[in-house]
Amino acid sequence: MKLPRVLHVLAACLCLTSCVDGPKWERTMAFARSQAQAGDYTGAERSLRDALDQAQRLHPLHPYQLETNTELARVYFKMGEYERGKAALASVIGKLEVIQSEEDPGLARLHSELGRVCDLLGQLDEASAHYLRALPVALKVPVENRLDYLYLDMAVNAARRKRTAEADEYFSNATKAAQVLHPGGPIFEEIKQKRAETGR
Amino acid sequence: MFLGLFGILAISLAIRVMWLGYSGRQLMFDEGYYIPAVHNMLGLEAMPGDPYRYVRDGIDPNIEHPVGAKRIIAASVRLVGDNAYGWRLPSAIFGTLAILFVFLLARRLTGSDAVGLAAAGLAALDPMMLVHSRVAMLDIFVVTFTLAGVYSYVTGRAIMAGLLIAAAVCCKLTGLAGLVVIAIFEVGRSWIDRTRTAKWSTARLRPLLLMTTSAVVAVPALLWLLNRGVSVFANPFDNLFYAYTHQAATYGFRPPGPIPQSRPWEWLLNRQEINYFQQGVLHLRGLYNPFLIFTTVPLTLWSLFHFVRQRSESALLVLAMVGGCFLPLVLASLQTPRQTYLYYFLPTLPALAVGVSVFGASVRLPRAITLAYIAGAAAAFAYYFPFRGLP
Repeated sequence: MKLPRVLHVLAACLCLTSCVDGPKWERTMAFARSQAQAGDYTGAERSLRDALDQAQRLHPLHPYQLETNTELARVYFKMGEYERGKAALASVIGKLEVIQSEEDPGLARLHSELGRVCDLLGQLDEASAHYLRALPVALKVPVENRLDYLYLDMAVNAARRKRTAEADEYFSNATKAAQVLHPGGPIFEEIKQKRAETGR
Repeated sequence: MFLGLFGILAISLAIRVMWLGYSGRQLMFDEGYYIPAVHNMLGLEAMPGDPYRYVRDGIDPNIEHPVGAKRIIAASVRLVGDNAYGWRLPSAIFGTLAILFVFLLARRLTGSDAVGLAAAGLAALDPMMLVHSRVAMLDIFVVTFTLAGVYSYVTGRAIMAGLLIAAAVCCKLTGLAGLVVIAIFEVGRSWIDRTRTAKWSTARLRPLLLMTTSAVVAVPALLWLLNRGVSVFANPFDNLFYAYTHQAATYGFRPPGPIPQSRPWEWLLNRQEINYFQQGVLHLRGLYNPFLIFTTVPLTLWSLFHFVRQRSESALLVLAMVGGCFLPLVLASLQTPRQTYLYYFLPTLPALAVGVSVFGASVRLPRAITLAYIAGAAAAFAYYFPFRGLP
């Protein structure tokens, strides 16, 4: 009677420790990244879901969950699955906001990305709200947070929401920022193209 | 005896406190996490290179460790000021108290002042103990609370022991080792009783149960108190779960790197020194005294022999501390390679100081060998002493 009991305890300990096998998660993530790099997004998604299953046994604020969801969002974007990408990104942002302040450039960049996904999903007002949360930080760290591209996204968003004056101002700001951040870069062509697309 | 102890403690405190401000406002090693965390908790200006620059104001952003030790450092900063002394005085005081508890434990278990003094002296001569008593990190708090808890237990204050172990856990989750140490110790004492009475007695279970219950109740209660106003966690259990998953699911073992990781079995050879800080005449080297660390394996074997043959409680303590503080790390590393560093052996070190002293007294070494050993340990300590000249 005693031996099976000991075995049960040992098995429980083993399960508990195997729940939190960091190197296994790292291997799964590395494999997923290599699949994504090779263009096998379906395989990458499957691997990332496996990694997420492992990470979800940990505390919700554990970096593994944040990292996995961020990667998952990127893969979903590549696959054109914006709704799922949005859910993954929103999950990361929700968790980061527990610790990080609005001043965090990383968090602001995620808001930019989430704004872009909302735009792609046609959720224009929500997209605008995310851009507006990203903007104050991008103004402080324009290089890191690609202020010119953020203005460009905001301009297109405003134009689609029929806020013409706002859109013109953002297009103009995007051009000014690009002259400083990316002089002679491809962004000027993008600005021109988006202006034409939105009739501005 | 009193003069000897006073001398050891006074000198230890003096060398822990002297020139603490030599490095100015530069942070040493993992202080780079804890001092900025304390700054954020106290609402002080962010430091250069602050890894928590963009966290929410007022919280403890260093969420992988419970807030206990950081609360102590924060209290010191409020009291002494936001300077090197404010940051590091608690470590110096706790580091000195650790030596006192080594003395008390060794004397209690052997009944010998001389063994107690020898153990305290050896603990005081360890460079890693000194380094951790001069930096604002968490480990020295865990060591001291654990030693105090074990001492309380062996002196019959089981509830107090539980509270002290809880305090250790609230500083760093590795404080849980204290519970294992006491459990092994009590099982060993039960075995001693059994060999005398030819039957297992349940009387020993009562203090163990009391201690465990008081620790189990005190950890969340204490953590709830300490977390008030600075924690991102909804409740202490959530905090403990995060700390557990962070420790257990740590990133993989990567031997090369600026801060050398090492496997637990490498520590026994004093391998993978950590350079805590170097500037001018100050060089904080993270290494153990070779005269202590190299004894781990033979001393553990001898302690096992001495415990079985002589029913020695002091030898049992060495086994309990090695078994509770060191072996779990070995097993964890064997199961999955994980981030471990040389200083993780620190909670085990006092056991070596006690064990070597008990060994010296038990086998009655020739005076010349004892003196040569002490001189060697002192010379090694002097060699690794952080200050290589007058500032």
